[in-house]
Amino acid sequence: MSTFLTTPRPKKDPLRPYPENLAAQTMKHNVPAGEEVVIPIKLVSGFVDIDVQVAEAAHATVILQVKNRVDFSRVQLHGILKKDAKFHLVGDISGGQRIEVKAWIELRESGSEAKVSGMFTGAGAEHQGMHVLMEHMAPSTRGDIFLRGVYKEESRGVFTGLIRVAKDAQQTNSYFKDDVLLFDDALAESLPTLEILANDVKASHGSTTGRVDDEQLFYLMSRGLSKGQASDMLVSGFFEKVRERLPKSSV
Amino acid sequence: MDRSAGFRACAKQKIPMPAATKQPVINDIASQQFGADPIAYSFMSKPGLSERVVKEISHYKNEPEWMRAQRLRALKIFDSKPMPTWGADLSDIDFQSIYYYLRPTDKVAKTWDDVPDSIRKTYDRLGIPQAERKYLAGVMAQYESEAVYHSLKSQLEKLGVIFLDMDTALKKHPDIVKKYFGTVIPAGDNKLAALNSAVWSGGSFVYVPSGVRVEIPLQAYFRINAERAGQFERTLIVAEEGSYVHYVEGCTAPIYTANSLHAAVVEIIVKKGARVRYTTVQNWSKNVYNLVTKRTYVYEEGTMEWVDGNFGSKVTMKYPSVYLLGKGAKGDVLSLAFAGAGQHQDAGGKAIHGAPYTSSKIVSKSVSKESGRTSYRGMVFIPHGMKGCKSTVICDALLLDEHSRSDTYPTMDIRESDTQITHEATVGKIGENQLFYLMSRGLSQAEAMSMVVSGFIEPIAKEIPLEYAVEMNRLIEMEMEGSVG
Repeated sequence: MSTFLTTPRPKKDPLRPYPENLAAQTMKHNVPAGEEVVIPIKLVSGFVDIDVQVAEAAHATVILQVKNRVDFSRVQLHGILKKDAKFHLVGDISGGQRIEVKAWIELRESGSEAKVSGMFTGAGAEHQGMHVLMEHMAPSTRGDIFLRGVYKEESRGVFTGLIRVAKDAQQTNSYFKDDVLLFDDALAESLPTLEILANDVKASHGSTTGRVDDEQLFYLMSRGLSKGQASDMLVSGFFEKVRERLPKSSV
Repeated sequence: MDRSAGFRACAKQKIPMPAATKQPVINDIASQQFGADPIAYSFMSKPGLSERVVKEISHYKNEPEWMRAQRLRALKIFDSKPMPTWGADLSDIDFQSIYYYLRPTDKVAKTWDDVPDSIRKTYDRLGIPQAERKYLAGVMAQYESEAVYHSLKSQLEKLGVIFLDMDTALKKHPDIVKKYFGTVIPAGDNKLAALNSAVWSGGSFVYVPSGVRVEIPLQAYFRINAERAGQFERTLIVAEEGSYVHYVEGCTAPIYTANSLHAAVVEIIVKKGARVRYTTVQNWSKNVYNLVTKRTYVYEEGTMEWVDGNFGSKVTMKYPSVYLLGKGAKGDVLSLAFAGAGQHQDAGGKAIHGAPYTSSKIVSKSVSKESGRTSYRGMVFIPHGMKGCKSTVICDALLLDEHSRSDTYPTMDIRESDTQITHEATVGKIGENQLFYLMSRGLSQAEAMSMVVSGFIEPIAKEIPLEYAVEMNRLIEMEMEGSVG
């Protein structure tokens, strides 16, 4: 992969640097026209570059999952969508000294649709990042990014997004949303950006950062739950909104 | 309102290229256009920036040694810092072709009668109504680099409110100025703040004593009037405990042939329980680089409100900031930008929560048309330990045609879990159904579009004093002319 385009970053990277000499590997997936495939990828240590080409009217789902704890990991996913292609990137990330997922999705032809759904949990001193560049290069394309993270103790999360709508990409709809729940001494940084060069578009982003709602916590505790149980229940409900978006087979 | 005629004249008139300028008399371009006398400048620095120019400025102003030293220090910082490249394109600015100091008259006029004829004529043409000049408290008109006209209502004087141009303030109240000058925005903050600190001239100084409420907005007019004249005003507002003041800044400027630079610095200190509102309606001519640093320190229970409207200039980079430094401090930034052909409005706001239980709200509305580009650039920072902070950021952008562009670059750096931070941004065009509805009621397409735009900016327009809001609406109507077709 030559240059991998990505999103603007915070001036100072709050995440710990990668050590040198991490193993690197590349994967290529070509999804033929009209087919529907699910590509499960277990996140491994090291650098992973993934190329996904989704041909006309094909439908690809990439499911990135952390099953075993990894130390340092970085995934660079480059998705290219042709006419009426559909693509869904699902991230289920937890743990890590530093786990970072960069997605660069090019909606090259009209009618293509891309979705990104992410669930992130960090605890201890874990660092995670998610960076999504959604490039609308053709008319009538749709983008929909939804990320939710929960960070406890001294963990950190960085969420950046860039929705870029090219001049010719009229009738485009695109959304970016990230919500973060913070506990203890955790920190989060959000940088959702938009660059819109067409005018007949609907583009928006939203971002919230905060802690679990006191009133909800109080309600659950008044029903006999301990503070820990109540908070776990609220976190589970928080992720439910992302789970609702996932394909049935992956749940 | 007559004054908007001035805005209109400035923004719309095509003014011919002036003949080659001779020192020390510059042919005033606006005067040529309207047939008035050229203005004699009593002192004009050579174009370009050097230690000598800075020393000359300080010498002609007869400044105390500490200010001279501070200017020279700032010049060194300016030379050592690179141009910011993260925002708008600034590569066309040639610092060596700019005049850093122009002084149209030798002393600050005490009454309106003392203001020289040629300058008065120019203000007449700007259309500032006579009644307003007399009745509005403390109308201070800045012509070129120094205040030439400054009147202060006697009742304000009785309250102990100081409202002077910055140069006079430095002479009359050196202690207060020295205590606060450069404390909110030091010269090292950024390259353009360093430039301002080195060559600043004019601007306003406002001091409101403890417990005093200034009920009438304080207003100042700013205007660039000579080709290649940079204007580097420096404003400092100090609101003591429990006081209130509303400062209004409006800018007009005629069209020039060379790129002009406006690099102002505005420092505001809001002490315990005080409230300050700062309103700007910026309509520089469309070849001016408007690069302004504005920042407020807000202490316990204090409130700062920035209301910032940007219509003119070629490039504007301006991010009014609130540093919330005491429990219960509150900061609002309302930002409005309109970018027409060839303009880039890079505006936004910053909220730094330096104390627990502080709150901030940034609302940005932008409209772009033709090749105009608007960018929202903002920052919310909550350091660790700042419990109970709240921040809301809302940015809405309207794109009027297929050549316009809008960007949103917000950053939220949250290092404390006990906070509530929300951010929303939307970008879109005028809804077909809205246009259809209005047109079915008998409005033309142009009228309907103009009405939708006015409605879009309403939440900010209603925060602007009435006479400015009227002007602003006319400006928008004017900008919207010819946008259908």
